[in-house]
Amino acid sequence: MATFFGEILPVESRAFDYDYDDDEDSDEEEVPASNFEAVIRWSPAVRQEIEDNTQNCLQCSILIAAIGPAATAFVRTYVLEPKSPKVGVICTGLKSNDINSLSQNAVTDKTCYIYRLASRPEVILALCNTDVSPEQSYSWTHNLMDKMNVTNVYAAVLCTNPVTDYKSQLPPGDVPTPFLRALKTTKFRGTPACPYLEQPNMVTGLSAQIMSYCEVFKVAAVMYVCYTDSKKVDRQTISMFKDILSSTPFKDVALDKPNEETLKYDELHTEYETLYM
Amino acid sequence: MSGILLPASSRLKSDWTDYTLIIASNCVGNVGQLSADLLISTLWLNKIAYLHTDLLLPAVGNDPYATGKIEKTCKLSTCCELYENEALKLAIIQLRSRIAKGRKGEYVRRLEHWIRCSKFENVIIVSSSNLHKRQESEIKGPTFKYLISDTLKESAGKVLKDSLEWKEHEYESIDNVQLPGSGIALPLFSKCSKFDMNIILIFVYTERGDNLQNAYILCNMLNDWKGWLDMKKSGKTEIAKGQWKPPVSWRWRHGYKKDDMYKS
Repeated sequence: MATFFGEILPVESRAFDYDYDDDEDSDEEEVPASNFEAVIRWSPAVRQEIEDNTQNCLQCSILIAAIGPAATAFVRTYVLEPKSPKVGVICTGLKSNDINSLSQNAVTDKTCYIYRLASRPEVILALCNTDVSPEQSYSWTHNLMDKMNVTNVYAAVLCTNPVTDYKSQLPPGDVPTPFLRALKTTKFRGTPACPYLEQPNMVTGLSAQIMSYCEVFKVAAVMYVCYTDSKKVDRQTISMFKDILSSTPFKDVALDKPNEETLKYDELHTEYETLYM
Repeated sequence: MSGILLPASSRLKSDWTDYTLIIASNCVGNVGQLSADLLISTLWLNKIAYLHTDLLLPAVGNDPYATGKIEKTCKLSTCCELYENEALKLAIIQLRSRIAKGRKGEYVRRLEHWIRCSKFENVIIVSSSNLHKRQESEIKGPTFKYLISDTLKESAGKVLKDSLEWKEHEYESIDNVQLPGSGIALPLFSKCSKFDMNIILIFVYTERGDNLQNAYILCNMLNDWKGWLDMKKSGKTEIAKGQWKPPVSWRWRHGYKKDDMYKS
């Protein structure tokens, strides 16, 4: 809508996260839900464990879901014990230009593995370093969470968002980055280690789906969003998450000696992705 | 909504006799959703259920209707929620995200089925349509119009037309009506009216951008009909804008604060 002086004012509100597109009116063909399925594979040992369980699920006390390269690098460095076994994988497909190593073992690979800590098997880590479309996120979340006994779980979701998505009373260039914001479900009684995400900001995508699941099914969960102006993974963004190591549920699982090797991998990856290589 | 409506409080019921349901459609300028926000915020509706489904794309945020020390609290809101005010017999479905591509038809089918089974007395869809795409015959007409089902027309048609002076959108067959940019509004209205429901679709011709004014006007129109806010108390025929309570989530809608541009 144009004002008296003719300038076009954008309107933003928590009532929505987008404006209506004309193309949404076209009589689009119906797409079956099976087109957006994520596939989960458990290791034989864990599959057996799930089958043997009377409730047909995996015992879990802490679930940490890291979404995106910076969050996964943080969890690899500060939580994941080097000898923790991979117990599952969630597949959502790869794009033709995604570069992966043959063994799928490099930290920069587009993978989504589920780990459990070697010292505490009831701590499950889902490290998602691949692209999951918003349409796939429902299936991704239910595939993982439906196999967990979430009655007494503390869940944590870590992700990053570009600072340009952050709305505040300051102009975008005046907001010092990176910074953390938190959201929690009703069941989560603790206080997060950073300020709450202010209205009218919203988080979308896979991390939002996991939090929605936790709210709806009454799981105690906290989400930490790191707003950053860096397109690539950098040490500053990863280090921002360090503030949460003293809070629930990380204080129980943080490594005494961080595994700094993983940080080097990420920097290496960043170094080679320059414009004029 | 057959498996996708999950309770947020113990007050979720299956029989909604005597209740009016308002559905915010995803639409151009988000007039439907802005109106729903204004009603929920002003009339103190409580969240009673979540729509948790793969038909809607995920979104979470802090409480859009928070009051008081809003920085100190967190009450998670999700992509689509059902709100209720028991005293006013009013329920609102607020949609904050978009419908997954290629799933609009299924969403409408499920919504219609749930509405039909819930036995609402009235159903109101609030939406908007592209101003630049309206038919030639419509250009001189008013920007706010409505479509009404035959059953509701019998009971409320006279009041709307004569007392409130609303303008009905005229058409020969519902299948020929076109409301570009109105989202699920028209298919849902069309489906529900075939089942003899008391349903009305109110929309405004508008464009993208700041549509707060249209949301205020739409809420005033609905209040003129339903009388949720006590107009006699204010002694006015129309409720002043200030009496509606905009939610905290409408902050910074024009971006960051620019008021101090010319301070020394």
